[in-house]
Amino acid sequence: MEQNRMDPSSPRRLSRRAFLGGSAAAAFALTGCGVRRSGGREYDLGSSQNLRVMNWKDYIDPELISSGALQVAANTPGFEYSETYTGNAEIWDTVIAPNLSNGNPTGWDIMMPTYWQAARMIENGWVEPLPIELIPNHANLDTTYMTLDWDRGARMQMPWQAGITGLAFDTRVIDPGELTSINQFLEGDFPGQVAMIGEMREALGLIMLAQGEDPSRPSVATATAALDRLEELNNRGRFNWVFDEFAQQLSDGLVTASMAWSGDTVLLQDELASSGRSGDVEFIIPDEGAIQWFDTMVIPKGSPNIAAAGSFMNAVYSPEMAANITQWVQYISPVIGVRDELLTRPEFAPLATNPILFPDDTTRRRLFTWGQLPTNDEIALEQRFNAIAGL
Amino acid sequence: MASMSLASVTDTSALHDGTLRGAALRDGRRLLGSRPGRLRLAAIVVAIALLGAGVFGFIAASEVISKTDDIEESTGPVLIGTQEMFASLAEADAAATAVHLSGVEGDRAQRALYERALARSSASLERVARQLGDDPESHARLENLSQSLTQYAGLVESSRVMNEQSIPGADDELRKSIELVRGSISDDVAAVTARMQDRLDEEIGVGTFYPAMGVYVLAVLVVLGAMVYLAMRFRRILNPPLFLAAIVTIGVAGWFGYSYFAQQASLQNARDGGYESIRLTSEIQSLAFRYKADESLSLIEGRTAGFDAQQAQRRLRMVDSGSGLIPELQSQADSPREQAVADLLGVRWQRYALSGTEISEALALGQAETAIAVASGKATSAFNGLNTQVESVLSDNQAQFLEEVDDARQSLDWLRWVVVIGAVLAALLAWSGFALRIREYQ
Repeated sequence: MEQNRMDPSSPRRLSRRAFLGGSAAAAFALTGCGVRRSGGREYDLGSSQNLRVMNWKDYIDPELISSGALQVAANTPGFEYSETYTGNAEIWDTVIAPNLSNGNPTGWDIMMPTYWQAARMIENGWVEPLPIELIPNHANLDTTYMTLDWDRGARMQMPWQAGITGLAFDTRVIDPGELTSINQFLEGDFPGQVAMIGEMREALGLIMLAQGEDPSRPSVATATAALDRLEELNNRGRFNWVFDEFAQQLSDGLVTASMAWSGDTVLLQDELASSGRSGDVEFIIPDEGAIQWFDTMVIPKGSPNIAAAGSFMNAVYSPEMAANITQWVQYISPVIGVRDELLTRPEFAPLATNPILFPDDTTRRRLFTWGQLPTNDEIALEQRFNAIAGL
Repeated sequence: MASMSLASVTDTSALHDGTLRGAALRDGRRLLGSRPGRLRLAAIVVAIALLGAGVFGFIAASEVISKTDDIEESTGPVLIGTQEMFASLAEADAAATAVHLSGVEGDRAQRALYERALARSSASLERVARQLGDDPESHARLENLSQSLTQYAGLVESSRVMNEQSIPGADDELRKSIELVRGSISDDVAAVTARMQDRLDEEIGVGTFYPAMGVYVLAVLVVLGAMVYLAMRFRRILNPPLFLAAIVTIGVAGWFGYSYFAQQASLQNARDGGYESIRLTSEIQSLAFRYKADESLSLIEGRTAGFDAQQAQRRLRMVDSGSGLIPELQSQADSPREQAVADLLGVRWQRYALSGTEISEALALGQAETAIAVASGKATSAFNGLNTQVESVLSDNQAQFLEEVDDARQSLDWLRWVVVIGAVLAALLAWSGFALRIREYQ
């Protein structure tokens, strides 16, 4: 299946922020059963099956899972939370495509693909519509996510967290203000290598911005031009290809600058601050702009626990629970009200004013989400990208 | 000489016609003069009555089916498609205004949103034109709409370019584009919607069903009359084939009635459950758009006089507990899903109205920059939330509406076959009922 090869993410990519070290996936079950009728559809809450959620590693506060707080909030009869979403390509190849293309359930009730993979799942008819009647907190969804062409009104998916892919650098080597643009990152005279994340849409997106192109409206020509430049720089030995290890490499001084995920960088900054190295790493949105993405909750076709999945989504979309998640993962929350909620928590109030977590309108205008190309074109680009990056 | 010859030919032909008519009369007298002859004539009359009822029934069934097909394939989709087109255009307009208000640099994301929304709007318009069928007046309106859309896109583009190059008049171009949507485009959309609503009422209407039932009753009476006639002549109470013919005719009429009333029940559900909500949603959408358009014009023109009172009235029309559109939509929800989506619409409206209040307050304090920042950021985002929620309500009601119309269509699936086969069968049975007695007599 051609689509199996479309994601440049290699199995090396473990999580948005795995450098912190993982907490073990918590899985526990409580008893409970029942049938809920809603809008003519009947949802089996399941007496023997747990609500099964598959997420990226370290994408929620483990305390929320182990304490049972999330399960109680979601009012689910049983709960199995797994951090085995190891990469879009890997999960597509091993879980999504083999099962759903044959009409079999995936064994999961909620999965968290990145937005473009969710769009393909929806296009293939592999996603259950959201049980909106069980998600009154859908009203808290940021409207940015309601105007997507591939899911108008967010009726098939609900974003989990969003992030920015920008640049981070070691301030011990590069002075703040010395690195402000992607072109400087690509060509600047810094010691050693710079780290490049092996996500095609984000890496090519940044290069396209550097070339004055708009990655939210890519064409084969502009993407190919970006690939040509990437290849030329790579041949010069400019890049150290990474995934989430970029934060550790910055921390250890193995690279001086890196393409960087916002949440991972904010957490790295916290870690460094707690070890007396405050200000050693800076995250910037380059002059040309940065790339925005989001991972999103979908209910794969054939899930027997749609009602429980709806309850879970409702729970994580309450501003209180969403703030709990944000204060730990430190990515951009898609939930309206999180900022106000954080302001009521003195310990976390500074997060509410962090422009990386809560971009203002001016910042938002500098963020670009990769636009979709026809599938075949994307596959061809990915093959070439993977070859260049050695993935 | 020539005229004389012609006259003689004409005379001969008249003589020939007279001979034929005489022969026919003799044949008729011979037919009615004997009992088998009279029986054959009665058989022909009864068979014609039954076949006639079948033909009338077929015409009536075809009309009912054709109207239901039209609702399913044309009226319903056009009604919904027109609202979708307007929803997309409202989104495009909100985005275009946000781009404009963002200043010289514009807002790239909103610009992309505008382009996508405008493309969706054009696609909806094309789809509606394909689905409309034979309706010259609505086609003329769609033609207007198409031209207006082109004109609208031109005005927005020229406003953008003038804004980018700091050429005076950009505000004026944008104002014209908003007024175009608020005026001509809204009028055309409303006209097509009204026309589709009338068409829906006409198509749901009774049509020729009751006359067809009358014809079936007459046909049954004719058969019963024939049975009485034969019973009196042959002193036999029951003529099994004629009796069966009566039963078959009653059965066909019963099938027709059952199918028709099932179809009517489904269409009524479609109207009450789906269409009424679609109508309400379109009103909400139109009101919300006028609210947004006036807000934009107020910002562009720096005009505040009368603006607040007008907007307050609109807010009341939207949420007033007695006559508000949103409470009415919520009360019409007939499933938890619809209820939930209507409730979400209420929340989205409140959020948008709050941002509108912020704009009004800023304008009242003379803080134009703050008002513009709210309008191009928070308010546009809240409006988009409301607008996409309207689309969600439309989509849910569309699904319900089309499901019910599909049920209505399915209840008519075998009707034409039943009417035709029933009529032929009843006529054959009636004929054989008479043939039985003729054979007995002979």
